[in-house]
Amino acid sequence: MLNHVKKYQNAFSVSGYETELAEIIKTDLAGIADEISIDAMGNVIVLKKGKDSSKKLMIASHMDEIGFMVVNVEDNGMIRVAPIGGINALASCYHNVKFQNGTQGILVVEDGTRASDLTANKLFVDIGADSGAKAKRKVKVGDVCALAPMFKKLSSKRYASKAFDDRVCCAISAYAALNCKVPAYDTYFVFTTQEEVGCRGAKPSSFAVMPDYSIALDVTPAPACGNPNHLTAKLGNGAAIKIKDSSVICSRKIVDRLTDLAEANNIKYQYEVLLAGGTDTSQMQIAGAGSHACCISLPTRYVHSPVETIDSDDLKACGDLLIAFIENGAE
Amino acid sequence: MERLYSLVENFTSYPGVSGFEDMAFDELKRYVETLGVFDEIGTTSVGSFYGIMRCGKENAPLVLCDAHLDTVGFVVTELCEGGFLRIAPIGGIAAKILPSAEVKVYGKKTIRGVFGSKPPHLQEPGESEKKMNVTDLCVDTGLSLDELKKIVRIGTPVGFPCKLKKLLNDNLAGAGFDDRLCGAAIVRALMMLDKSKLNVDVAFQFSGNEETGYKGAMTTAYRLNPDKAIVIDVTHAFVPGAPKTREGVRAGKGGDICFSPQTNRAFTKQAVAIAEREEIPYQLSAAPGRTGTNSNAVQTTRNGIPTLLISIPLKNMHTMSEIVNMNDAYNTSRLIAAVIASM
Repeated sequence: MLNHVKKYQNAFSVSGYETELAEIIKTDLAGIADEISIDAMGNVIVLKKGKDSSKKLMIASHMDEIGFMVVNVEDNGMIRVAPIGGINALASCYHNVKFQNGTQGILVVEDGTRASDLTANKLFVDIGADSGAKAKRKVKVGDVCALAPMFKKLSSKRYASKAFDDRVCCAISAYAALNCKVPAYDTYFVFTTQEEVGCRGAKPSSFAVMPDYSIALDVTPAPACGNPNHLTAKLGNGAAIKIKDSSVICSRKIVDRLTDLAEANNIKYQYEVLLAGGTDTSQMQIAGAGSHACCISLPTRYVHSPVETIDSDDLKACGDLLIAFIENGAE
Repeated sequence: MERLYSLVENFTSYPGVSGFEDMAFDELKRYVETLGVFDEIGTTSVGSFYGIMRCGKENAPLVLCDAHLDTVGFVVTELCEGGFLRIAPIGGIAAKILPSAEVKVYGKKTIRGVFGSKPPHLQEPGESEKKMNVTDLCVDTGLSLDELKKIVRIGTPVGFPCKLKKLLNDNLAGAGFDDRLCGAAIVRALMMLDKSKLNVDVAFQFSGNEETGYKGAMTTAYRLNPDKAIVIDVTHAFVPGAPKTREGVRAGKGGDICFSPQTNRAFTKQAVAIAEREEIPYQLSAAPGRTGTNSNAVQTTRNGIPTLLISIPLKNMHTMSEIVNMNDAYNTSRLIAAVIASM
């Protein structure tokens, strides 16, 4: 699974610009898919037929990550950018960024900005151009960039990278698609677009699939130093079964089923109650006449920073739990 | 009125914190079946209960009456030494009303708890003036941590118990009137109707997940696919100290018919005309922005559904002592029945 994570990590995939990663995933899963398509929103939809085709299970993980869009190239060659998604300005500044065309730069802060005033609209990219004209040869208004790929193994079983949110879950979903036995139901592995800007890919793809059951895969913030936000999911404590976030209250039926499957298969699990932040779960829950929806979350420290940190045991637990649900179904 | 009271008594007795409405399904089904109003009943994956009353005429249009089944409440986030529970709110709840309030904890079995409250003797000067967050509070269960772990887990729902208290002048106090009261008003309206004289089928959806994003309403309306819809919710009855803009809606003056971009103007005017003709007390309000009810979710389902919103004035909304004047609920039932009968 880690190899998939590394591969997906390197693809450029800011919200609205997920084509590169979509093609990689499509290639990876072409061999096992009964049907595979990419819709108008860019969602990759992979169907693996199940024993019972009267029911549909949808699994969603989002391909996009937060990033920046160029709004102006200034005369001195500095590039003013606006955030795409929930940027943590403090965590992002003075890091390398990379544009879709490969141009590299550094994310810098408007001169004279005090730490307390640091917001995402105080950020510029310095690509080293000494004039606006030279900068415009590389970058134009509307171009997007993201933090440059970085992947580090820390000591023990922990890894740090940008955009584990949500590539790591794309890797879990792909791993499950490749390794599960015959699914209980017709199972749609959907790799969604534009989650970070409002679950915009999940909405139409959920309506296209019209699932009976749905499982989202996403990261959930885990506490590191102190826990002022009352986060319940801890790094290393296993797959987090979501009870609620600010966009959804998960189906008790699926919460209980995942709990039973984790107990029966000795998969380490914990529960997640998240007070702020939404996921694709909500869109799957309200598609058409609605579905039983839940989310398996991977505890992640420093979400939306260049050093999002995960534990590989949790990663494995999430994969095992997902496969158990796919193979055994909701009943 | 007695029948309406007994509906309210029943409906408010079930658990049903937003997202956990399925806990009410069994009892609710059993009770509704005894009423004999519906030809078909069912539940959905998004926490809604529904019933359909058929008029017996072929290809009759369907009118949908919506009220929401879920109530505000809490969910456990941490089990602490000494049998205390930390909780997070589900839906909009003001922390300042909670200290010393009684709750029910719906774990493997239902246990009682009380929100802890710091006595004034132990407070620092000025402490009572500070803003309080729900997440700062604890529920005291009286159990040891070990006993508690056997019953409760992270994610266990917690809600207000409802004890109805009859006040003077047909006023009634209790919890969960938002929006169980309105479900009762709808069912009471359907009991007033003579099926054989109707030209429409009537569906009642007691929808889930309203307090957390109108999800039950949009999905159940999608499933039922009605031609018209009437949404019933509670609204704030004016009390001293409330904003001047809310002076127009008073307890005891009847159901509040709402003009809004989130309702259908023609259908709304028709309801006003029917209330006038039938001499049913009503009042008017305007919500130029959002109504804060299921009306928009229902209105925008599928190709769009002409939607009417009638609200029952309520005091102390989202507390354990909501107060309604039962005449308002009864007159709302009469108005719903008159609107359906006129179709």
